[in-house]
Amino acid sequence: MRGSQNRSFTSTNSSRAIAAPPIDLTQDPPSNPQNARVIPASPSYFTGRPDSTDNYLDLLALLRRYQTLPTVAPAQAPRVAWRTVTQYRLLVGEPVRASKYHKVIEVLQRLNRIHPAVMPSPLKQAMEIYKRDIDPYAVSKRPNIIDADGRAYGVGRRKSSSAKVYLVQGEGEVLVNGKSINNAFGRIHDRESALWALKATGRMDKYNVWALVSGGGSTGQAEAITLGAAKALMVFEPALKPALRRGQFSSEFQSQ
Amino acid sequence: MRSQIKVLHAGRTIALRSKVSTVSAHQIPLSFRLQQRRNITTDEKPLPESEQPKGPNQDQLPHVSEEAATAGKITGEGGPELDQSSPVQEVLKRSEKSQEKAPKIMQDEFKASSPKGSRSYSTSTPLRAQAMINSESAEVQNQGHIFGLPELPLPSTSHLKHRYDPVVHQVTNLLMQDGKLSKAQRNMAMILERLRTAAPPSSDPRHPLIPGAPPTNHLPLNPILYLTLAIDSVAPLLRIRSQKGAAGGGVALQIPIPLGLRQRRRTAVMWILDAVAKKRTKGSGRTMFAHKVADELIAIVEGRSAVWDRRGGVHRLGVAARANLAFGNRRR
Amino acid sequence: MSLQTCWRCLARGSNQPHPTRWPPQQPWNLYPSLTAAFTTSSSLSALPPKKKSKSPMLETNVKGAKKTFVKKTKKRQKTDSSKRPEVGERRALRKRIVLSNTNALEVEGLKDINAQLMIDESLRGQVLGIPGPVVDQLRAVEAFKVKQGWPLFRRPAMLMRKDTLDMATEIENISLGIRDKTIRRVFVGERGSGKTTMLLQAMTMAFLKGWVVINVPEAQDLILGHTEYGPLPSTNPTLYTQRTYTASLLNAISRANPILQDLQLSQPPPRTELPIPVPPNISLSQLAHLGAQDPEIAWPIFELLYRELTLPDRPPLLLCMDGLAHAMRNTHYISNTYQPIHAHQFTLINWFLSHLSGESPLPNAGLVLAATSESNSPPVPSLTLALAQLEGNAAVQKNPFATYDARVLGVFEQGGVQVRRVGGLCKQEARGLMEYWARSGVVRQRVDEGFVGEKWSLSGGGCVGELERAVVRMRV
Repeated sequence: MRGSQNRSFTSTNSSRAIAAPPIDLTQDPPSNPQNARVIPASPSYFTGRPDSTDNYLDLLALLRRYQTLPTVAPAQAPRVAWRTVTQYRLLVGEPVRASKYHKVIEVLQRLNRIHPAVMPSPLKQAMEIYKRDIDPYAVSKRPNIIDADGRAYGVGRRKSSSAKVYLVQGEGEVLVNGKSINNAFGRIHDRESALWALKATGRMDKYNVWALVSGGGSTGQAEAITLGAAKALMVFEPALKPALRRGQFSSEFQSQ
Repeated sequence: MRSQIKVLHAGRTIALRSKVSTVSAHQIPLSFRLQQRRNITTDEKPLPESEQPKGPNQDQLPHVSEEAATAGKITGEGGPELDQSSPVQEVLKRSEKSQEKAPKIMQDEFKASSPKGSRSYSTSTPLRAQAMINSESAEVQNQGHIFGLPELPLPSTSHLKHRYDPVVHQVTNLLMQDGKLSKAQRNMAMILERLRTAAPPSSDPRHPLIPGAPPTNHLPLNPILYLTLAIDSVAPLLRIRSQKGAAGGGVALQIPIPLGLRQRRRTAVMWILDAVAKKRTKGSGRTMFAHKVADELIAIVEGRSAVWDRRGGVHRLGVAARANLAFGNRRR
Repeated sequence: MSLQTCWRCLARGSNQPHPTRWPPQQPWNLYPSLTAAFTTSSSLSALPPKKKSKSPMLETNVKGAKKTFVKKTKKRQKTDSSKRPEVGERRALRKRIVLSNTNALEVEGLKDINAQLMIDESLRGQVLGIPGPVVDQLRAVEAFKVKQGWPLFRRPAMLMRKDTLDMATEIENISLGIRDKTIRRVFVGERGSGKTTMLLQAMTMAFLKGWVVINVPEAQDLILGHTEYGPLPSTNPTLYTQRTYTASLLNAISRANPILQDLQLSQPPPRTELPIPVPPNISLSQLAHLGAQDPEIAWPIFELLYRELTLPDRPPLLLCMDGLAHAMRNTHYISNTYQPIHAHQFTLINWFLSHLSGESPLPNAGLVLAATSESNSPPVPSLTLALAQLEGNAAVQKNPFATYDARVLGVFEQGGVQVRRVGGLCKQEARGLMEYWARSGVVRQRVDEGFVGEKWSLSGGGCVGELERAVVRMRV
C-alpha cells in the first residue's frame, strides 16, 4: 500500500511504477550506506506488469471506497463501450491477460452501476481511461425526414447487396442505377420484389423510386431495394407499418 | 394403484406447499418480473401507488434494519444488508396456512396491500393502447398516411415470400434443379402458357377429375386451375410403408399411410416428372421440357396418362393391405 | 456352369453314389451320359444358375466377409417407342407461327382496322382487329415473329398507340399526295418496346391503303451464310447476289401484294438484261412469279420489277427491314480472295440501304422503315454512333481510338433519316391493351387504375413486351 495515498489513480506512466524518484543521498544520507538500495515505488514492480496491476488495485480501492453508494439496475446504467483487451494492452504497453482484464471490466461494470446523480468525480476520471476513444453509443441515428426536395431516403441490405433508395411522390416511375427497372432486372420476379413495399400497400402509382444499388447478385439487389423502399415509405406514411410488416419478411418490420 | 397413491398424498402436498410457491418465473407476467428487479427508485418511474385509503398500520416508521440501512447510506458506511433473506411478509404471502397463524396486525396489512382485482394500475396491453388512443386527438390519428390505408389483413398473396398460388409455388420448386429457381419459374410459365393455348381436353369417365371440377372446356382459360385439377385428381390418397420384419420371419409388412395435401401433390408431381422423363421430345429449344410436362398434364385430364395406373396400383395395394392399418396405428 | 457342391448334403463330388438319393428314382438320372464326362457333378441334378440379384449395390466380396459397396451401373431408362420426329420437323415446330388460340374468348365489338378508321385520333388506346385478308398478306411477307404474343389470342389485333396514329397520318398524307417526299426512318428503343410491331403496323396500314410492300423480315438471314451467293458480273467493287433468297422474296412479294395483278408490265425488257423471253403485257405479279420460279433470273427480275414499280402512276412503296445492325457489318460469306464480304456488297442490302440513305428516292413516294433489335444485335459501334447523333443524343461521342466503318457512316451521312425512339405506352394506352386482354380471357384480375399503374411501373414505364410478360405470361 506504499504510496497509494498520493498517487493519482489514472496514471499509467510506466517509469513511475518501475522506480521511485531518485534519492538525493547528499540531502538525506542513509544511516547505513552499505545497506542503501533503490526500492521500487510499487510492489507491483515485481509482478512484471506493474501498470496494469496498479490500475486494477486502484480500481479495487475505488470500489471499496464507493461501494455503499446507491446503484441502479444494470439495464438502467449508462451504456459504456469499454476498451477491448487489445486496445488496453496498447494503452498500458504490457501483455495483459484477457482473464485479468476481464476482472477489470467486472469492477468497472459494478462502478458504472453507481447512480449517475451521485457519481463522484474522481471515479469518473478513473473510469475515463477504460472507455473507448470513440463511443459507439453516442452516435445517434440520423432522423428520417422528408428533405427540402420532397424526397425520403432509406437504406436496405440483403445478402451482399446494399441499396440507397429515394422516394418522391410521383407517377410510379422507377430508376435503378440510372436505368429503367426492366433494364436493371431481367426477371419480373425481381422487379416485383424491388417494388414490393409499394405493391403490397397499393402505392405503386403514387411514388417515384430512384435507387442506387451495388454488390451481390440480382436477387440480393432487388430485395435490398425492397427494404430501402419500405423504410423510405415509412417516412412518408408511418401508419403503413402494420401493412408493411405483413407484406415483408424482414426483421426490420417485425418488432414494434 | 397409481391413482390411489396420488389421492393419499394429495392432502399432504397441498398442506405443505401452496400453489403460489411453485409458480415458475415464466408464468409471472412480464411487468411484475421487471418491477421486482428494481433496485433503486428512479425519478421518472415512481412506484405505482394504491388509491385506497391507508390503514392505521401503514405510513409508520420503517423497520429497524431499514432505518439502519438508511443511516448507513447517509454516513457513507455500509449498513445492514436488506435483501439477504426474504422478509416475513413474503413468506406469509406464499403460504395461506401460515397467514392464518400470523399476528392480527400482519393479517390486516396483508389484506390491505393486496386487494384482489382492484389494482389501480393496469398491466394489460389492450387497455393501455386504448388509453393512448384516448389521450391523442382525432387529428393526430389521421396523420401518418397520405393515401388510403390498405385494408388489413392484406390478401394472402401480398407477402413477399408467398406471392404465387400455393400449387404453382410447390410445383415450381419441384421442377427446380440445382437451385435454379429462375429457370424453374420460366418453365412453369411456359407450362401454363401451353395449357392455355392447347386444345381443350376431353374428359374420360374412367378417370374422373375431383368432384366440383368445372367442365373441361373451361379449363384452358384458367391454367392454374387446370394444373391444380390435374395434380389433385391424380394424387394418391396414401402411400405404402414397408415395415421390415413386421410380418414375421423377416417379411416386410405393407402398411398404408394416409398422405397430407402437400404430400399428395408432391407425389403426383414426382410421378408426372417420371413420366415426362420417359417421353420422347417432339419439339426443340427451351420449350421442350415445359411442353412435355404440359402434354402429360393434358394426358392426365384426358385419362390417357400412365400416372393413373400408378395411382391405381398404390390404391389397390392400400386396399389389400387395409388389415395392416392397425399395426401402423399401434406403432404411432 | 454346374455346381460342384451338392446343395442337399453339402457333399462334394458326385462320382460316388449319392447318400440321400439312392436308389435313383428320378428319370433324369437315367441319362447321366448326356453331360460332359469331365464334370464331377451331375449337371442335370444341379440347380439352375442363380439369377443375379436385382440391385448390384451389395455384393459379397469374400465369403463371410462384410459387404462392400459396388458402384451401381446406370439403369437404362425406358423411353417411349413412338415415332421419332422427321428431319426438319422440330425446326418447323420451333419456327411455326401460330396466330390463333381457339381457347381465348372472342372479343365482342372488336372493330377491324380499315383505311378510314386508322387515322381516327379518338381510337388512341384502343385495340383493333386485323382483317383476315391482311393477316394473310402479313403472313406472306413474314411480318409476324415467333416470340410475339399472337398465339395467346383469338385473332391478330393491334393497339392504336400514338406512334401508330402518327404513322397512319403520314401514310394517309402520302396516299393523298399531300407529301411526295419519301419518309426514311429507323426505329430504336428498348427490348420489347414494339419496334418490330411498328413495322407490322406500318405494313398493315400500307396494305389497307393499296401500297406495295417489300419486307426483309430478318437482315440476319442475308448475312449468315445460309443462302447461296455469287458475284454480279461487271461491278466494281464486286457486288454479290443471293439468288435463292431473292427468288423467295419475289414469291413473298407476289403473294402478299394482290395489287400487282392489276399492274401491267409497261414494256418488255431487252434481251441483254433478261436471258429469257418475257411475254408482253403480263402482270407484275406474274413477273414476280417468274422470278420466284427460277432463281437463276431472280435478281434481274427483281430489278425489272422494281423499275416497273417506280414508273409514274404506280402505287407508293413501303420497304421494311428488321434487325438493321446485321446489315452493317462483315458477313459470314467469303470472297474469292478469302476475305469476308461486307454486307453492303450484297445486292439486296445495298438496294435497301440506298433507299434508306436517300441515294435513290422513291419517285412515287413511300416509306422506308428499318428497325434495330436489342435482343439479337451484333455490336456495331458505327451504327450506334450514327443513330445516336441523328437522335441528338450527345452522350454518345466518337471514340478517337476506335475504328469506324465509313460505309456504315455513309448511309446516314446524307441526312434525312429520322431516328424514332419507340418508348413505353402511356397509362391510357396500357389500360386499353389490358382491357382487351381481360376481354380475351387471358387476364383474370380486375383491370382498374391500381392494377394498370402497378403493371405499368413493373414494365419499366409501359414497355409493351414487358407489360405482356408481367400481365399475361405469368411473370416469366
